[in-house]
Amino acid sequence: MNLVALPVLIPLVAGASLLLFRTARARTIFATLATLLTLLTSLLIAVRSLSGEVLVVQMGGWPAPFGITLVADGLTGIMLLLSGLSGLLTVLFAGSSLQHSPRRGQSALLNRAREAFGVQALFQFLLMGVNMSFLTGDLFNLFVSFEVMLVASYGLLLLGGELAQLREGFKYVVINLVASAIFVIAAGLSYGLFGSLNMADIALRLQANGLDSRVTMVAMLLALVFTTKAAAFPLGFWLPNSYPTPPVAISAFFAAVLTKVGVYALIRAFTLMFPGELTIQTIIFTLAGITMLIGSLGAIARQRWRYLLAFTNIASIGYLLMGAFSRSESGLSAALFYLIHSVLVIFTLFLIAGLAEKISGERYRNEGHLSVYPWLGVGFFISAIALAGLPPTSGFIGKYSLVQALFSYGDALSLIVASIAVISGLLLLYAVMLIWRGFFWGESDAVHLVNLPWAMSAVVVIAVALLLSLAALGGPIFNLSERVAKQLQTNQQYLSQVLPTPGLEPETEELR
Amino acid sequence: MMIKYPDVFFSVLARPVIFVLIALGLHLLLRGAKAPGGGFIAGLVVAAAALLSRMAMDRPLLSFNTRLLIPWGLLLAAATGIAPMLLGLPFLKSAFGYQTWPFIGKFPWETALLFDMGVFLVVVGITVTIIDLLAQEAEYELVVMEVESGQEH
Repeated sequence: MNLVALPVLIPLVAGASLLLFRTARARTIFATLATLLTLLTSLLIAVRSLSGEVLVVQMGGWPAPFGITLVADGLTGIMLLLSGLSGLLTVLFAGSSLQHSPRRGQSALLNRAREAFGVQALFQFLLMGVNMSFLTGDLFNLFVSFEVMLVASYGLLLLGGELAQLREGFKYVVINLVASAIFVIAAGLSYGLFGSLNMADIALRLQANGLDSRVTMVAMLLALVFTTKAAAFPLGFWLPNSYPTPPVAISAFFAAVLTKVGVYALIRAFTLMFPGELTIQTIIFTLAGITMLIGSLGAIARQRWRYLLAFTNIASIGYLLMGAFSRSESGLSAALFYLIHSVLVIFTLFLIAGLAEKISGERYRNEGHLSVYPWLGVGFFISAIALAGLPPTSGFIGKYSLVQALFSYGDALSLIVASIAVISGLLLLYAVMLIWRGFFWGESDAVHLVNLPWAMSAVVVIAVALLLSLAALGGPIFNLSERVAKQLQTNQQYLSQVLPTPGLEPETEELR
Repeated sequence: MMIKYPDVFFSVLARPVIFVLIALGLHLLLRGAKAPGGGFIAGLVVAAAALLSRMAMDRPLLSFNTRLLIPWGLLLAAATGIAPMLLGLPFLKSAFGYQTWPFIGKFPWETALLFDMGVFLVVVGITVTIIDLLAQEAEYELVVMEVESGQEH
């Protein structure tokens, strides 16, 4: 069962070892191999957990309510797979963009000076924090994983020290420090209230004792923290200007995966611990509608590649929360499918933005690139219509099933939020068409061919191929997400695996 | 001219205090598994010794590249977690027992101490590196100020 600890351990060991390597080439190769290994272990865990198993490891052999538990169920399996995949592509993209130093005044790509300050090591620690938050079954350990992730992300966001980075990084650090403080308070309160920090144990105690206003307070505080991390309205204001400031590979991973950690924590908390807190779930559901609208409207107003995409990321968070808190199983399973889609599509679009920024700078109003870079246009077109949710892409499958779940639930609020979802889908289409018209369409003599390194293009091709295969395998993957949603609805196996015999004394077996 | 070298009394008194601080740090490290203390606190106490050494004698406490302590400490801590996995036991499982040595007598031991030592190395590495970098910056500014005041006269 120690397999479950590996997606945390491998990045830790790799990150520490990366500090010892002296050349950028050695660091890149080592980081790639380590991330590949992490991805493989995540794949093993995902295969086993998606077939219905719940994998558990008790750290140090201390049984569940006393020690820290790492748990992998279906949801964890999906998340680990997504973080591993985007992690590997990030390292590959960062490594390949490093070979070619950027033009003066162009911060889009990682340069050697920044790399030497330990970008690769920090990224491994980031991956460790992300994987640990997906795996942990302990509320305080979840806080620790968030901290590991955040401290690494502060470093990655600020390395380079450009004006925009420092200005936006300050906001990012402050809001996250406040959120972390509230998280600790919530964890402390829940320890005082339940006498336990183990999420399965809390769930069982709540099932036995029922809800009261103190439980609602703890749940509210946790919801506040997690919606801040997920960048939902009204606490998502830190995201749209801060995520585009670091190098492309880093901001792609931030946008695709980090906000989803907040969504994951929300889903976990409100399916496992507080499924009875319906008022809070309705509040989050309503906020999800506003988040979609803010995200898609904000995207239209932006003039630069990644700043526009950061707002579309907020919109996709809105879609996810809408499905996950739609109070129906079909909504949750649609949200899980959309989660996979959203990670892949946001990641791909950010990488394409990276290539485009290398070609002609941050702004997208430079016409006529389609004739010079036809394949970039094809890649962008596929991922753009996937983002907007047009058939035959996976975005269509996701959004259609989300809206359908809401309409079949059928109360007034669901209908309003579902119509917002449809409208903001159209707005997102308009936003990506702005880029299409601004960057690819039209005639221009000023466009000159910039040599794109093949490795960078190859990473983008892989990302687009993954996106297409998600659409092609839409049926099986949707069935899978339905199974995971069913598993989350009862959590029976999760509870019985983490706490086989409640009230067990710690084992006293000695090391031989 | 700026006073570059600190107070004589301060620097003479600091010497034994630094020894006491390091001894206290090691004591806290060794008792940490069962009593208040542990690698983190011990590392901070040693960092205080490094700070004192900089302030009183204008000299680094550790004469090697302290930055390297960070990865090695992390690796030691990780290895303590991984070793039981290789024996087929849960991650981070700690072995413990008792030893009786001449002069010292009976004392408990625990493999978790190795983990604590890893933490200790990381904390010492980070804090001492920060202190040294700040001190070098301050020294640099001192030199700049001296040069500037020299130009005025």
